[in-house]
Amino acid sequence: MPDAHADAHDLPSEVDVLVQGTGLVQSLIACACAKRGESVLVLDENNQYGDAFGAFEASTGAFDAFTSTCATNANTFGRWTTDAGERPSTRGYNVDLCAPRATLGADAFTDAMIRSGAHKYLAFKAIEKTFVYGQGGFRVVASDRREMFADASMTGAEKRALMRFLKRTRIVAMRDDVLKRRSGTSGEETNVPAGAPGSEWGEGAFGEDDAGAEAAEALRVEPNETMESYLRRQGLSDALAATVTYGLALQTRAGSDAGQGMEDLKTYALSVGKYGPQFGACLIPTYGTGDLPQAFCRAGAVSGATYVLRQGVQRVDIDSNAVATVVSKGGQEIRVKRFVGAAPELSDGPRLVHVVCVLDGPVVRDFGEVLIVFPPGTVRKTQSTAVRALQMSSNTGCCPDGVYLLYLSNVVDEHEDDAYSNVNAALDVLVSRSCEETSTVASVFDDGAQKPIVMWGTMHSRRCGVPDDVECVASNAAQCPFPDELLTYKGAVDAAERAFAKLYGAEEEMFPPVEISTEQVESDED
Amino acid sequence: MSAAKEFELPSMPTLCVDEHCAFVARASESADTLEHALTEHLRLSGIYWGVCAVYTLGRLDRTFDRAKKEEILSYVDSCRNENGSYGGGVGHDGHVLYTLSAVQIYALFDELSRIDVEAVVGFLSSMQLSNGSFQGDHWGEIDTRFTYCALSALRLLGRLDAVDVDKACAYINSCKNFDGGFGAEPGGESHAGQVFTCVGALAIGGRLDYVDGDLLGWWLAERQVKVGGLNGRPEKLPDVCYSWWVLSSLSVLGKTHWIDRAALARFILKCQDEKSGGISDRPDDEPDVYHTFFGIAGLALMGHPAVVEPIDPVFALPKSVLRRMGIELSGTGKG
Amino acid sequence: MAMTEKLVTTCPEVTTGWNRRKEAVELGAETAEAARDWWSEELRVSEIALRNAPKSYPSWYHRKWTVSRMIRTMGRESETVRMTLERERALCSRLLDADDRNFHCWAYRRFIVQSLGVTTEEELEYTLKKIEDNFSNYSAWHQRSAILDARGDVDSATLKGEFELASNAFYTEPEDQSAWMYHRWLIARARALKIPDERDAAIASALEICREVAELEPGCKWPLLARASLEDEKSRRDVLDRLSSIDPARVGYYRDVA
Repeated sequence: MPDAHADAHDLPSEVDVLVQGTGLVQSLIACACAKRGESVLVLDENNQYGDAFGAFEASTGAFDAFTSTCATNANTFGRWTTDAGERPSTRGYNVDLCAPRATLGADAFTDAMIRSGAHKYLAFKAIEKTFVYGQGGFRVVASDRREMFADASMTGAEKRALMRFLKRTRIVAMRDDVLKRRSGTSGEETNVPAGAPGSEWGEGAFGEDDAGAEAAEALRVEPNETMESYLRRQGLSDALAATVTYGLALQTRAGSDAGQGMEDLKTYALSVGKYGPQFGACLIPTYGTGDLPQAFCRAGAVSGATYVLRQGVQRVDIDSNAVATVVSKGGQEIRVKRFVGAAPELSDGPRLVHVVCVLDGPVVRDFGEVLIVFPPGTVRKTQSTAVRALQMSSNTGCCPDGVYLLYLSNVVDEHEDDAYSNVNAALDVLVSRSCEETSTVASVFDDGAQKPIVMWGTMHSRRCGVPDDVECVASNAAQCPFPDELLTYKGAVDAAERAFAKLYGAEEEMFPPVEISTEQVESDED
Repeated sequence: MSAAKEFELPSMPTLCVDEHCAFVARASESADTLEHALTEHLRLSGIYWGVCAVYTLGRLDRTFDRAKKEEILSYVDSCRNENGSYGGGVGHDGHVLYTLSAVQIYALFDELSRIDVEAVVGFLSSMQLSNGSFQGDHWGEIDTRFTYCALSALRLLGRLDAVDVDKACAYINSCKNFDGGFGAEPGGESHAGQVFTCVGALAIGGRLDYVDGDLLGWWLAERQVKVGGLNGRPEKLPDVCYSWWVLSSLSVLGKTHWIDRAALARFILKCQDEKSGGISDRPDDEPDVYHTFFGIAGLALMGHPAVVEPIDPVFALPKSVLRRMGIELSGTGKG
Repeated sequence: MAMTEKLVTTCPEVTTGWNRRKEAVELGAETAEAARDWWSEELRVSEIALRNAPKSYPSWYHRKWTVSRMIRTMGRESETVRMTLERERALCSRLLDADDRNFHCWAYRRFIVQSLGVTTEEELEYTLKKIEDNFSNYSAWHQRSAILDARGDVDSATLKGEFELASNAFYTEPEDQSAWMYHRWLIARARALKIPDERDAAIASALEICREVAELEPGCKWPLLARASLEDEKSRRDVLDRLSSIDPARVGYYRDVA
């Protein structure tokens, strides 16, 4: 890591950009500014990088401390079960605050990692399988033709309908991608090798015939259509429509818009197999989400940015509508040209609940990293948003051998208790929360095994959403949001780009494209 | 539609006859290149491909003068081994594959008298095993290709009587698959190249009744892919050499009209190097003598007007050569 | 030997180089003890050659020759031979993971599993795994047909499962011809069923699936082609007409079989 132990008196008296906090959004912006050649100073009052995007070693107690101070309604449940009744060593855990999260191989965040060079400091594991819950059971989400062939839960006609739809989606996605790159200011050459991994969703190359245009026409979205009704119109059964909406397009809310859903599905389609055949679309960073802001901080430090931990911002002085001076908690005044502020606590907006559990065994046997989605209305009648769960094994470096991490999240717009009820209901499906239950409770995954026991667990929540930029009156300042309700980090890139556009103008690209071959990325990523 | 008429289609590229002959002539000169060194072990096959290609284009004499012919023939002579077999090159062990190449080259140059027929027949007949199959040399590798080579060479020498033809054909039949095609050994996957050798062997042995013509013909017809070329097995890429392996088999079965011949011809012609001559496996690849011959031979079977010497689908030799040798022609029916 | 090793590993197509090695082995392998070293050396060298050129006829044959020699000299029951054969089977699996259509390797694998006495069920399981990995793998479908045929008459219960496997492939990807080719074989085997009721039921259910796929994918020729062999005379004619229009390259075939 960059030297983060500078004392207060080491701070410069003048910088181009001062960034408050090392959350993922701030880290993206700081890195981008440093790469532009600006002098960048980042102050974070915490002991570690990442803010709400950070990860914590459970042993230090920092996790408990953090969840109790910055999140409302944090509570713990479960217990460590050893013969001695003691809490065993919790070394070897990297517990994320904002999980479950994953990046898609072809999404804007992965692109930002590659363009910034942050990917050099990261390694990834693929999510091996995705399951979608419904009608008391789970369905594997088939994302390529191999999985489709193996899936015994679909009828022949269902398979055909889904395969045809996904193939068209991929053709259109590749076409859009090529067109975007061609028309983009970047001048980046198209990079869609024929027969590339994942080409099972369609021919590697499009454009030889009218397949692209035909597919685009077939996939046209009507205005005001919901994703699920659109998918039914595309010939998918109700169950498949839910599977695609929540398991592939990764939508969160019931009745979500079909246009956005299809954009997300196209990104998913381009991500399947991008980093190797039989390599799924969703990637999770080894050592957890907490490694992501750190990687951007490293990339920023390489370009000259200075990072100071345990040093917060006390006051911001505004002069004629612009931030002129920032005063550190240590009392030092720093003249700035631009200022990036940390997320403010929001008093309204959706509330996002996170659950972290340490399990004595896997929820889904024979797999390490598994995404499980409970679409709206599947665990509770009044559930209006998807509950997501992510099982992670020691493969990810986030927990020791033999135990598993299970993350859940759910977002609600109003009644906070709903979110707790939703995640609790989902938890009941997946795990047992007391030792006594174990002998009787069989897993709902049809593998003849018993549910794993929660050895330790915690829930916390906070409001999420984009801070209203209008409140940030200063013309040379931008504010960063907390983690949002998505599975991906796309929201973080979007927020960083918005902030960057405000600071430097909309025509400036946050990370200009770099020449990089797929091979390089591959070797870096696994 | 008559076959030749298809080549008058406006979109049909022309066959670069001069360039291909020059390519073959160059290939037979460049003894010091790396490629030459790497292919030394199959030089005899290379010579056969090159000589037969220019022969079918009606350019044998213009491409090889008397001295060059003699040079080639003495090279072939020097590939002969004590047991009557021929090796792929000088100093290489004898093998059924190259023994056929040698016989074919002598036949093309009308120099069969240079062959010690008894020695060759002795070698070839000693290669047949008790189950009717043929090994390639005394080390025991068995393959239906070797059956074809042995039967073809023996037929060209008029000595089929030296082996058990019925048993040889029955062995070929044991290599037949559910799709009508043939593999290299019993249980081996059907492969268009192997199909040619098995159909050819059965044709020479007079046992085409072993072939399920409709089934095999269909399997062969399915070798044609969208771009017009033919592949050797399902779900594989097209390759010019299969123009010969597939089309010759279809021709023996009288079913060349089961594919789109104009599309195939266009594919072959697209694989030409129009500047320096030669034909490659697929468009824009490096040409070689092997694909040059099989491309031209494929066009010959479709009656391309520039390929002036019609070719026999079983022996892969010009019909005029076979006629000269008094061998009845094996092309049948509509092919 | 060092010279021929260099020759056969850089240019594995040179049969003569391999032959010199075989001669040396035959001379050197006088005692069983000495032979063992020679053989493992040949397996090492041919593995290098195959890694560089996995489709080289002479390299594959040299390997088969070496293993055959071992079996002949030491007997199939010998522990050394069994271990070698198991290693060879694993090598085949590795090479088929890298290229699942390498027919040399499939042929060699047949030789190895036969020598090992691997059960039909175990090999069927292997082909199923390869088909599940990639159902465009015609080699695996072929192998499956060969194993089932070698086992004897294919019964109706087996056929039912095989029909399901094949139709699963064409519901997923109806344009992929591998499973359709296999399907054609299944129809032939269904026709060969001895009990008329079983035969009629198998044909009827195959036809029903083909009709459904043809309805789901009207532009796809394969279900129609299968129907052409299953329908009654009148429907068959319609199907062939339709085939002529969507697959004009093979119109000659459709006319001839009409």
